[in-house]
Amino acid sequence: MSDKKNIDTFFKEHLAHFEINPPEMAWENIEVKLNEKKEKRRIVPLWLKYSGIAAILFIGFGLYTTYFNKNSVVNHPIVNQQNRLPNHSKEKEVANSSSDKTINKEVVIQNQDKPKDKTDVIRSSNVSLEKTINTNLANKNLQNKGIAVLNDKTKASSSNKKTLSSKELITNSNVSLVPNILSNNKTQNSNKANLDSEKETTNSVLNTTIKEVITNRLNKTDVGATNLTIDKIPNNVNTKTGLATSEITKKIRKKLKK
Amino acid sequence: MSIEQLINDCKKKDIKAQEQLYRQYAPKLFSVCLKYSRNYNEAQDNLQDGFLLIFEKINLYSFKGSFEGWLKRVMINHILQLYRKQTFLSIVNEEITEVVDVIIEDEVTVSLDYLLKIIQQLPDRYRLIFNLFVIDGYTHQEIADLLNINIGTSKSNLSRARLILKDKIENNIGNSSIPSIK
Repeated sequence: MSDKKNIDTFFKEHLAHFEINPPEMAWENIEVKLNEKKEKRRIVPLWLKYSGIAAILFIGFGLYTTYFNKNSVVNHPIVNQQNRLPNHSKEKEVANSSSDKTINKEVVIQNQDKPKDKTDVIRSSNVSLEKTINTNLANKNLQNKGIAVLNDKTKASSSNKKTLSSKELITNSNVSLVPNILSNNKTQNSNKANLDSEKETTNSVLNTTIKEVITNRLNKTDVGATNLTIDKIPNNVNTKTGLATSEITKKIRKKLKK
Repeated sequence: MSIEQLINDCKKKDIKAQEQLYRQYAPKLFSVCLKYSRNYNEAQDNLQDGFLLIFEKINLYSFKGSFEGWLKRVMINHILQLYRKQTFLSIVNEEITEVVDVIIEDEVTVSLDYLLKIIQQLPDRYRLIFNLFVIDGYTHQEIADLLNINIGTSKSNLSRARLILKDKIENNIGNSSIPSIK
């Protein structure tokens, strides 16, 4: 017989250090799972990247559209109104300065005619302003958030308008007053139809001053004389027109809030 | 390429390095799987999952101790953890006293396949304890901690395993139908 052996050593000898090649399939399975893990790692950052870009584009588009709409709707009509008045008044200033020495009735006639044209222009501008107010009101429903900014913008633009108009009045002494006053008067009237009649007194005061100016200008054939007479008025009218414009802006704001 | 370089590349999840590492150590670890598992297919599953765990945890290897020993520990712990999840269904007779000297004849020639087969056929806990204690040199205390059992249970289970294996080997002697390894 042979030597007796402890079963532990027997198994250890046979099984401790043997090696068996696993089937090739095993590595293929591992490789597939490793690649799956890598793809998962890759997919997440890509998804984050694209979603980030999309979010930025979306926010940018939103900001662009809101600001662009406000700019186009609110500013353009007012800017036009502002631009028109100084241009015309400057033209007239030139015309007046040239006609100061040569007393010419034609100039007076022209001056007579021009205010009417101006009023038309101003009417149209007023209509456009009302339109913008309407559109603003329409926008108000759609853009609840944007309304605050809109108000600010109208405020700012109206304040600009005020300063500009007052500057005009200072620089352009005579003829520019008429269209300004007329425009203010018109807008005030149109607004008053809708709103309270609180400011009727100021309106009447304005009307009288405007009438004075116009009658002065129409009656007197001497343009130089009209210049002199009107030269005295501006300080008076400036404050009043200033008041009128501020009132208009207040009313616009009220409308917008409504 | 040195083994350190290979490990570092595996830490960077380099697929080529991972394959090389697998090719180098899979035969050794597959033998571990075969001893600790119930059958060949389960051993293959354990090998695959064990290697995925190794590639995942290779960052934790800090070049202390042998790398092969570390790989083996990861693989064994992975398999033990699988059985910890399962409840041991086998009812173990705790009364059996520890039998240390189980003697078999030295000249017994049995195939490796047969030895693996009889180990795999042992009840799960017997198999694990026998492998841990006899083949891989764990102490009863370590086994008790790993398997959440008493030291006494570990010792008695080991004795039962020895007796079962002895019976099977002795019954196999003279059975010419089973091929033997020389």
